[in-house]
Order: sequence, then structure tokens, then C-alpha cells
Amino acid sequence: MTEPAKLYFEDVELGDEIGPAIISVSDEQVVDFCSLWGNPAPNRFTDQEQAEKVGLAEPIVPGIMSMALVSRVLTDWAGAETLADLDLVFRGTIPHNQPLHIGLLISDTEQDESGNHVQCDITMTGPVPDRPYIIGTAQLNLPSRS
Amino acid sequence: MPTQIDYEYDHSLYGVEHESGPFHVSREIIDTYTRSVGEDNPIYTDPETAKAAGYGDQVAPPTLCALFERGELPDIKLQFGRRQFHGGQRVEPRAPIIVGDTLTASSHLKDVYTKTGRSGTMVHVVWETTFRNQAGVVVADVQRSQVVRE
Repeated sequence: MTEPAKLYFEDVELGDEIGPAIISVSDEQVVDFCSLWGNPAPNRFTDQEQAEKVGLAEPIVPGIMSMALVSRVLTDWAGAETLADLDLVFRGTIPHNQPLHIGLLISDTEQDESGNHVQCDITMTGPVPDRPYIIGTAQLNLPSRS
Repeated sequence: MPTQIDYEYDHSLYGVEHESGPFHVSREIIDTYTRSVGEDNPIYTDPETAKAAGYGDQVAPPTLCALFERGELPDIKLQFGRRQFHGGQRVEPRAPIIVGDTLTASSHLKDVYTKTGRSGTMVHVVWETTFRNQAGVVVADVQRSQVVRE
């Protein structure tokens, strides 16, 4: 496809840090997402009482919604067509209406006959940076200037 | 010294593909998805921008197909623990998903394994799903890891 490149392989170096992007998710966003997902409110993602019934302190952001937020940060940075692999581990429950810090660290760059590949480590944290909500990796395939 | 953990489940699910769908990717679905996650890349929000970029129509964000996994996977009848949570998710986009596409999903049980940490032993149940569009083109491979605690 022909989306103008936002980022080229040559623009990225091992060890580069991107972000953190700071995002928060409102109650209304979670309700909309759950409705689309076939899990209409009230449920543990949208309602305090339902959350407490399953042992949660408060309603949480669904895992696949938080994945969409990470994907958004990646494609905002590198372009809509670049994401080849996104692999996330959910380490903690993610609250609504709180700043979520999504950071990327470039862990490898490689060019071969199949393309120009960039690997990055991903973290999503809240107020305590060493207790991530999400850790993971992504592979992006970028265009080359050459 | 690791402790041997007893857990039983339906091993006959290995090697069996479970088909689900069709899932129609409407403009409303993409618009609601992008709005709910704050996505504003015009490739995903504006049909004209997407067409100018060479796509047939508005493009779905790469993780959208994970929406369609929910509730479509069989019960493995795991006899272990009581508390379940979503432990991880992997999406490998293979081809763009466009407004008007109709997807089907083929899922199989990939792995069931244990991990033991400070909070005890957990069983991980991993499902792998391949999504294809109406032309039979693979658009995404998705893995979902469900975790069950002691």
C-alpha cells in the first residue's frame, strides 16, 4: 500500500527509547468497548459491584482493549502498516481514569531478504514504574530509505 | 525442588480445529472500536484517506480481530483452580482487514502448561486462532493465554 512512511529503518537504533506515551481510559470508553465485544455492561469491566464479586478492587480495562492501546502507540509512532507481531503478557489489572505510561525500547534491528525488522520491548505502567501492568514485545517492519 | 502439580483436562481437543464465524466487519464496528480506544490514524477512521493510500476502504486497526475470539472456544474441562484471568495475547497481522470483509476463525488448543511463582501455581491454557477473510486470505494469527490460579 502507499501510506506515506512515518518512520524509516535508518531512523531507528538499538537502545532507542520511545515515549512513554501517556493515555487514560474513561468509563465510557470501556462501556463502548465491552458493548462491541459482546460483553455489555454491567460487568466486571464496567461496574464496581460486579468487579468486587470476582475479587477485584475496582472495574478494570479489558486485556484486549489494553492491547489496542499498545497497538495504537506503536502505529502512531511507526505507521499503520508496520506492525507484524505484538505479544503481550498481562501482569496486573489496569484501572480506568488513571494515566497509563506506555514505553518502547528498541531491542534489535535487522535487515534481511524478507525486510527491515525492528524489535522492541514494551511496558505499560501506572504510578509505580517497577510494577508494570503489561510487558511484551513487538516486531515492526519498516521501509528503508535505500 | 519443583513440585508435581496434578491437573486434568480434555486432551482430545488437541489437533482439532474449531471453526467460528462468519464475522462481518462493518464500518460501525471499526468506528466504535477506534473511538473506544482513542485511535485517530486516518487510515483507520477515514475511508477517503484509506482509499488514497491504496486500500479498498477504511482499514481495521491490527488488533481488532481479537474481538471475535470471545466465547468461541470450547471448554477444556480443566480440573484445577477456581480463579481465571486473561494472561496474555499475541496478534500477528498478516493482511489488512477492510470494511465489508467477512472473517472466519479456525482455533485449536496449542498448549496447556504450568508455572509456579511466589503466588503459587498457575495453569496456562493457550489457544491459537487463524482468521481468514472471504477470499480465504489469512489476515491474522492470534494467540490467547488464559491463566487459572490454584
